[in-house]
This record gives sequence, C-alpha cells and structure tokens, in this order.
Amino acid sequence: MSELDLVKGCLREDQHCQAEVFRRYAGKMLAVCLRYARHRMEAEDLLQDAFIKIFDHIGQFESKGSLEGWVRRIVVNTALKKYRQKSFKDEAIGIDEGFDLSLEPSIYADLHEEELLNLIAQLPDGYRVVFNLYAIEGYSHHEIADMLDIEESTSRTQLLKARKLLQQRIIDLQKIAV
Amino acid sequence: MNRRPNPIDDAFRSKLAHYAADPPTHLWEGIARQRNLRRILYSRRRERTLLAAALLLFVYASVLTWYLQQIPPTLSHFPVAAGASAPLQKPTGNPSNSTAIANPVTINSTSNKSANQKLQVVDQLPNPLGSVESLTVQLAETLENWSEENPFHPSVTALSALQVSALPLALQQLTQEPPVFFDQSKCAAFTDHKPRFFFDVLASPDVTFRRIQPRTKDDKTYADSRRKTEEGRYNYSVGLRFSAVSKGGLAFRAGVNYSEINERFELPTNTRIVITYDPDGNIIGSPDTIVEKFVTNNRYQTLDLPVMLGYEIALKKWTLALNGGAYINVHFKPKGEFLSPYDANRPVTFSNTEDTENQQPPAFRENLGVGWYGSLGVQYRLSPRLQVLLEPHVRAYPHSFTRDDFVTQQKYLTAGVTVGLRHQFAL
Repeated sequence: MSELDLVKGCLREDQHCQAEVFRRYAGKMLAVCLRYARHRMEAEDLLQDAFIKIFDHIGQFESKGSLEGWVRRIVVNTALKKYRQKSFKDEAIGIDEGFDLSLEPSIYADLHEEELLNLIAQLPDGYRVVFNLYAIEGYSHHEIADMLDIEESTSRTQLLKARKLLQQRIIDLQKIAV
Repeated sequence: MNRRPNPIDDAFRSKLAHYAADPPTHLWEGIARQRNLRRILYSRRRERTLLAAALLLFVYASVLTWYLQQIPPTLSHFPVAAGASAPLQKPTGNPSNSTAIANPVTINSTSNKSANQKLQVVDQLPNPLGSVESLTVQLAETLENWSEENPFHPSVTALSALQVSALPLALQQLTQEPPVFFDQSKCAAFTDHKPRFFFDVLASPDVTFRRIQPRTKDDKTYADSRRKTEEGRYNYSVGLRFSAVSKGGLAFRAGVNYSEINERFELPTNTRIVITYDPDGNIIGSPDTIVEKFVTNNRYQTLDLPVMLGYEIALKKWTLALNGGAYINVHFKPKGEFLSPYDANRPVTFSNTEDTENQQPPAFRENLGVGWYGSLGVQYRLSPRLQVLLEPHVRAYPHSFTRDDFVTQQKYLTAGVTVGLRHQFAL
C-alpha cells in the first residue's frame, strides 16, 4: 500500500491503515523516543502520545516530503514539548577547561546501538535533547535555540557538556570491559 | 552551515539515525483504545453541543414568546367602535413620503353599509387592487382575448370550465363585503400582565451521597478500598439566580452556581506499638498501638449554569414554588489524592488534566455535562421588594465524575436546603 493510500485510509479513520502506519514506523520512531527519553517506559509513552497526534493531524500531511519524515518530526516535537520547559534551567553551566575529545575512533565502532542509547539516556535532560537534535537529527544551534526557546550559546554549551559526559562514560565502559 | 566533523557525533549518528527498536505489542492496543475513546468522546461532545444549542434555542424562544404575550396592550392594537365620534387623524408630515395615503380608494362609493358605520380611516387605506371594477373588467377581457388566440392551449380547456364572466362579479362582491375588522366593537381589557423579575442570592449547606462502582469485576477490590479510605466532609453551594415570574405563576430561572464537595482520604501507612517501661524494666500499663496515617482533604469544585422552570403560588405574604431544571456544568476541578489504581498501598494525586510531571493519567473528566435539579421553595415577603426564601433541593449528575477509561465510576447526588434573599426589581 502506498503512503498516499495509507494517509487517505487514516483520514477515513480506517483502523487497518492506522495499524499499517504504526507497523511501518513504530520501530524507528521508538528508537527516536529512546534517544530522547530517560528510560524505555517513558519512550513508549512518548511514542503513544506521538502516534495519537499523528492520527489526529494526519490531514495536515502534505505529500511534498516523505510520510516517515513527517512522522519523525511529530515524534521529535512531542519529545521536545515534554522536555522544553524544565530541562535547561539548572544545566546551563560553563565549559570546563581542558576539554579533550581525543579518543580512538575504534572505541566507538565497538559500541552497540543499545549501549549508545543507554549512554544517551544517562545524560541530563538538557544535554540529551541538544545532543540528539544537533548530532543525530542534524539541526543547527540556531534552529535548536529557536525550537527550545534558549540562547544559542546555551545550546553550544549543552552539546559540549553532553559530548564530554559521553566521552567520559565511554572511557569508563572501556575500563570495565578491560 | 559547514560542521566540523566530530567523532562522537559521527559514531552516534551512524549507528542511531536509522536504528529501529522492537515496539511492544501492547503499545498499538493502547493507541487504538485511546483513539476509540476520543472518537466516542468527540461524537458525544457534538451531541451534547447540539442538545445544549437546541435547549438554549427552545428556552430563548419560550421566554421571548412568553414575554411578548405579557406586553400590555395599547389602544392601537384593538378595534375602535364603529361610529366613533372622533375620527382618526391623518398622519402628519409630508404626504408624499407616505405611500399609505398616496392613493385613496373608492371603496366607500360601492359600500352598501350605512353611512354611520363607515370610518374615515378607510379612506386613508391604500387600495392594493386599484379600482376593482376596472381591474376585474380588464382581467376578464384579457382572459377572453388570450383564449381566442390560443384555442388549443391546455389551460384554455381548464379555464373554459370556469365561469370566467363570473370572476369579476365575485371580486366585486368580495370588495363590497363589509370589512370584518371594522365591524367589531369590542373594547380592550386592560389588565396588569407584566412579569415580575427577581434577583436571588443563595447559599446552601449540602449533604452528598457518593457511589463508587467498579467498571469490571477485577476492579471490585479497588472500589472497596476507595470506599474504606475516603469519607465525606462538609459540602456547600452558593449561587446567584435571576427569576422571571409571570402573573400566572410560571417562572423561568437562570443563574450561576458554585459547589464544593469535600472528602477526607486516610491511608494507614504504619502501625507502631509503644511499650513504656519503668526504671526496673517492668512494662507500665498496656502497650499503645499507634497507627500512622497519610491524610489529605480532597475537593471537587464545580461551576454550573442552572436553567430551570418553576411554578409559584402566592398566598398573601407567603409564596410556594416548585422548580425543576438542568445544571449545565461549565467548570470542574478535582483536587486531592486517592489510592493508586495500580498500587493499593500508594496514594496518588488525581486531576482532570494530564500530569506530565508524575506520569499520572487524568482520572477525572474535564466537564461533568448536565446535572438535574429539583426543589420545593417557600418564600416569605419581608417588604414589598424583599423576600427570604428556603428551598430544599436535590441535584444529581447522571455521569460519573471519572473518565470512561478509569477503573471506577464515581457518581454524586447532593441534597440540601438553600437559604437566600430575593429582591424584586423592575426592568
């Protein structure tokens, strides 16, 4: 069934089409939610809220881009709405001196997806959101500042702090493995 | 904008950008259930809106009709006795602006009524037909000419069945009939049909009867626990009410009402046994058992718009009233804590909005819909414009306060005695 047929079916409140949309995109979108949420249950709640919004507003989907891209935007926005207000007040702190990113690239290659997700989940809310938006979704600091209603400098700071924490935890993981 | 490559970003992006996790099967069931619930609520909301609109329209139409019937009649609404000595005056002003008197008619010349039964006002009325005699003659001629020119037209056959020549005569007879309106010589009966208007200030201590019922058999234990851990406290309602009462005693009332239901939630959390010893190590008295409890006061606030009809019987200084109607809920705010439906030993904060902070789904409805109200009232007139009233009443909300997807239904019936002051005023 084509994307257009699925959208039309969802507009008719056809449950088979809604189930098909869920089946096609739920896995990828759950992975997106896992990156933004603190734990799996929260991610599942986010995904559920996002899909309810998707079916509520599917009439607003314009066939200019892919349905997957539109679905992903809704999922990310749902996650952002949850963390937008409360995540940044206590986390906008300065960059530590001596911040070093020199780690062997092979170290990252050895990490599995679940391990990476766990590392992200352990980040404070603000760090996690900014890191996701910048490093994985590909938004600029200017866009992130607009989306989260924060200063660009805050976004940069959060990203650097997130990277440093991730680096530290990856090193810790390596130590444990050794 | 060019980005500087970053090994951490690259590592996470390459592995997670297109990563897919396995969604649990219950997730789709939850989405489908919520979607169905929303559909049901949406359709019910639409039904409720239509019902409310119809009700308001009906009330508005009823009040308007009733009010118009109460307007005191003026002389111009009634016929004037034939042969009245004072002829009606011609309208003043520029006659060219008045089409009503632009074309005086000739009815008087054909009327066979006696001269003293003719009114000068007739001369001033416009004649929509112009000269009836000439018109009827013209009509008859036109019909004859047309039927000669179109002898095979189906209409001609039909017209031939009529006595066309009789038509002018019939019209002429019609115009010569005395106008029925002018022959009536009844006089208007002027009585006071004005409605009376009242403004009431009301307050009532209430007693509530709560019913908690499980939606399924599995929830029976939870419902029992709720009943055991919660008890009613004080309740009250205050309101303002506008009443319009017809001379016949029919009353329309509308206003605003605030109600509060208060309950106490007690959950034993710990039991301590206190044993007191004397210096020699002997137990003094019997051990005390102290039960530590988690206690909180729950509150349900409602704001309603009462709309009701009533009937009043006045007996000198006393007035008896019977009222019935609807309480349209416009705001509902529950606040407090009760047992968690998922963990019977843990209290949870409840609300009718989503608690994102605590991941707590809303337990209560945002709006209670329509409640029903009935009362018997007694009023005593303190002064010509001031009455004191006493009104035992019953109010019930047929819908559960909790949402349809919550494990228990929670319904309330409230009874009380309203006391108030009623001020009569004139519009």
